[in-house]
Amino acid sequence: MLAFDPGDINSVLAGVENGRLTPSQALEALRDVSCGGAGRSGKAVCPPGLPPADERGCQAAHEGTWPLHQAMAELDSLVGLEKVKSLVREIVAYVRIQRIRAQRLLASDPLVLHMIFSGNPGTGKTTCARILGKIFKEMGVLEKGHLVEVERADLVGEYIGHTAQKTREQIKRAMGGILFIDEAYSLARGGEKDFGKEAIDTLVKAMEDYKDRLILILAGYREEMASFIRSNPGLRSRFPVHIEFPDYTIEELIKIAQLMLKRREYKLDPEALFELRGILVSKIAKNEDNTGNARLVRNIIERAVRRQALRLADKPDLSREELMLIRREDISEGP
Amino acid sequence: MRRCIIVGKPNVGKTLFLLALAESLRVKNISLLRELPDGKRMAVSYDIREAARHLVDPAPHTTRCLQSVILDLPAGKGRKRVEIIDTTGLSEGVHRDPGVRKSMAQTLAALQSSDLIVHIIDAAAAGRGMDEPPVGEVDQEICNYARLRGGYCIVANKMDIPGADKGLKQLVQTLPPGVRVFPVSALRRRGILEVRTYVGSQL
Repeated sequence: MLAFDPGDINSVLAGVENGRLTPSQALEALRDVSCGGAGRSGKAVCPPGLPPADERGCQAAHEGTWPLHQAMAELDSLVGLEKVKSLVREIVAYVRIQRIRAQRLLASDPLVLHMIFSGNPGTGKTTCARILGKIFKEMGVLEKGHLVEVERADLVGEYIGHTAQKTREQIKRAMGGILFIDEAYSLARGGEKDFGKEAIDTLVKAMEDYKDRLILILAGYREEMASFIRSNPGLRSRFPVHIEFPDYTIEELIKIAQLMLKRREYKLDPEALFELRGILVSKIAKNEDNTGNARLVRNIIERAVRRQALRLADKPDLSREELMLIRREDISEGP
Repeated sequence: MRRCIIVGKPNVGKTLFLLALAESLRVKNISLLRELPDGKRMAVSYDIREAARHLVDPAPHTTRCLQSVILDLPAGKGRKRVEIIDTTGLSEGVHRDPGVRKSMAQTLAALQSSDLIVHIIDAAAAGRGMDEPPVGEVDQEICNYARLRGGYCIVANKMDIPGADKGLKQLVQTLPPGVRVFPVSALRRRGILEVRTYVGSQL
C-alpha cells in the first residue's frame, strides 16, 4: 500500500509533514496531480523530459507574438498609407529596442508615444489608432489597448470647473489605452475665455502624470492641426510622433471599393468599375468635401448594394452569380 | 494580485534574492508578511540595509515560514503590483526536524497556488561538484513540476564565488532545453534586473 494517496494534495502535504515523503517525492506526486489527476495510478502522466511542458511553452510563446503579427497584418491589409505603415513599424522597432537597451542597462528614453494624426476625414486615422492600440497592447506598452474616441463636446463643459471634471472622466475611461481626440483643434477655437483651454490644460497634465498608462492622439485636418499646435508652444514638444494621412488616390479608392465588396461577397462587373472610376474622377476634379476619402467609397458601395437588391427583388430564380454581381446601373453618384 | 514564489534548496539564497529584488526597486523599508506553518500571520518591517542581517544566515533553514512582500514591478510602460513569496528551502531526503518538515509542506502548498515560480540554484555548489550531478534530485523535481505549470525560470545564484561559472555551464547542460536560466549574484546585486524584467513580463 502506498504511504499516501497520490491524487490528493493534502495527503501528499501531510506525507511531507510526518516524514513519510521527501520533498522530491512530494513534488513528483504534485506534478501528477496538476497534470490531470491521472496520477492515481501512481504513474507519471508526463514522464520527465517529455514535451508537454515544452509544448505549452511553445504555445505561450506563440500566443505572445501571434496577436502582434495579427495586428501588424491588419495594418498591412489597409490600402495605401505607405508612410503611415512605415512610421508605425519604426515606432514598434523603437519600442522594442528601448526595451532591450533598458534591460542591458543602457540609457533609454522613457517611452513617450503621444501622437498627432493629421489628415482629412476618412483617410484612416481612427482605423490606424485602433490597430495601434492592439499593437501596443501586444507589445506590453499598454495594459488594455482600447480606444476611447472623443470630441470637443465630450471634454468641454458648460460652466467653470465643469470642463476639468468632464475631461478627467474621459481620461479615466481611456486609462490603459488610447484617448483619441477627433478634431482636436476645436479645443483651441473660441478665444481666451473659451473652456477649451481648460480641457487642453487638463489633458497636458494627464499626459505627463499618466505617461505610463495612457497614449493621447490628437487628430484633425492638416491645416487646422498645424495652427493649433502653433498656438500652444508646449504641445509640439509633448507629441513626439506626428503622422500625416494623405488623401487616397483614385487607384487606392478603387482598391478599397473592391476590398469592401470582396469582404461582403460581391463583385463589380467591368462596366460598373468604369462607372465608379468616372464618379471618383469627377468628384475629385470638382474638389468636393469628401473627395480622396474612404467614406465616400463606402457610401457609393452601400448604395450600390441596396440598388442591386432593388433590381433583383422581383426577379424569380436568381443565380448565385447574379446575386454577387454589381452592374453599372447599380452605381450612382449620390442621392 | 499575481503571486510569484521563490523556491529552492536550503541555503541557496532565496531570502537574499528577495531582498536584492526589493532593493533594486529602491524599497527603503521592506515590510514582510509572515505566514507561519501553523497558520499564524504577522507583519514585520525592516530597513532594507538591516534586513539581511536579521533574515539571512549561513546556516540552512533560516527561513521557516512563508514571507511575502508586495512589490511594484515595472511591466511594459507601467507598473504591476505583485506578491513575491519567499519560502522554506526544500531539502533532499526527509528532514529530521518536524518543524522544518511542516514548513516544507507549507512551501509545497504555496507552490500550488502561485502564478510564477522562480527556482534558485546554487551555481557555486554545482561547480564544486558537491552534488553529483550538478542538479540534485530536489532541483530536478522542482524543475519537472514547474515546467508543467508554465511560468518558470531558474536563477543561478552565487555567481560571485569563483568556479560558479563552471557550475552554471554544467547546470545549463543538464537542464531540459527551453528553461530560462539567469546568472545572478544576490550578494553583489548582479543580474537582478534581468530576472525582474522577466518576472514583470510573465505576470
